[in-house]
Amino acid sequence: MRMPLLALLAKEPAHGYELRGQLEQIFGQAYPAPNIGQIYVTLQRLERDGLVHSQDVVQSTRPNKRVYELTDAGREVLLRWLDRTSDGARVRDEFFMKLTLGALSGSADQLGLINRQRRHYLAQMRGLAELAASADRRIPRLLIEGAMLHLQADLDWLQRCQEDLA
Amino acid sequence: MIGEHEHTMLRACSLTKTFTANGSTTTAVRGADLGLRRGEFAVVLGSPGSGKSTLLHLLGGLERPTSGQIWLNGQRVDGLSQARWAVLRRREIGFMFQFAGLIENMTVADNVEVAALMGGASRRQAAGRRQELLTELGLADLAGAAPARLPVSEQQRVALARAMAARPALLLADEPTGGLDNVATLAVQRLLARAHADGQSILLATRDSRVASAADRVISLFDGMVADDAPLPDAPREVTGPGRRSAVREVLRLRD
Repeated sequence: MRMPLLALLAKEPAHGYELRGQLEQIFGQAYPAPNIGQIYVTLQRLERDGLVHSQDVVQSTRPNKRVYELTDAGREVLLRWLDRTSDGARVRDEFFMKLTLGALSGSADQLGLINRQRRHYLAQMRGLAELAASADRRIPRLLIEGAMLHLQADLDWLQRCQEDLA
Repeated sequence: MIGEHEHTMLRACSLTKTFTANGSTTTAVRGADLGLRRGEFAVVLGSPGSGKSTLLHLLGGLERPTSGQIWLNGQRVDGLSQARWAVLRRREIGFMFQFAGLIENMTVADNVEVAALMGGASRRQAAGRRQELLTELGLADLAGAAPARLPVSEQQRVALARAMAARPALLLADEPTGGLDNVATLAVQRLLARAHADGQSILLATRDSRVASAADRVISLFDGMVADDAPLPDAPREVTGPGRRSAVREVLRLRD
């Protein structure tokens, strides 16, 4: 959550609720908005580390609001983050542990595990397809399509496991 | 047993198909058992060479099983002549092959319309059906085109329209989205979903998990055998509230 908040604050200073609203607006259905508490905790940590600083803005009809702003150090950290390549999604190793280690002791049937996992992935795929159908904006849709492609890769890999272990 | 037949669209018992060529034999399907209830949508999944296409060809009467039995609508059909199968495929079974199999000297529109006419539709119904299907599949602009001049991906969709033109009781389709781009795949998915909602029985072979995910049931073939045959669980529902994560959205969580 730290880097997304820094990236939003690089555009303009904002208070916690605004940041949450922006995340919601950009990522839409593809991303469950974090609760406001999470956002404030992250902002406090960023301030402790000197990456943002805040000041109270007096409002006439409402309680004061605390507006956060990126510091030079924060901008530096953000640029370093943007500059760094990101690792690809890792293989879902929990399932693979079940598949390989469960069979060692004879407590799991590999074909049964593969079949059940395949159906589970397909059900997840259905959920994503429904989500994609309701995504009317580009960014959420791309995120969902990415998740679907990862899931397709998981399914292909499951098939490879079945061929190899059979 | 009568009650069971009323709900069963298609049933196959111990289906086996062995091909012999140049003195060597290959068994493409080994003792497959499967059933499809009326109105059910099932997918056959499996790697290339797992026997998906052969299984579909057996169920559509394009190949004769080496052994085993097939019932369609409670009627035993595995021993029918080619001519009787051809009649079934005109009226009861819509079959979409992986290789489109369109009539080359007819336009796209006529390919679809003739299939509806042969299935017993009136001229007016056939024209309406043709228009509806071509529009849904994004092919309306190609109505006057010659199928052979179209890219394979478009021929595939014409073949699907053709298979569904006569409103067959059962739709058999082999890789209906193979080689299609995203937009065309979505159009095919929507058409299948709508047909399914209208009560169409569908059995299709696919490697596309997005298409497969819409099915009621998944049949997984491995080396010519049914390795799995079970209903798909419901899609994970959106679960909200503190401390609860949705299985769907989990994939999309921003991490620090």
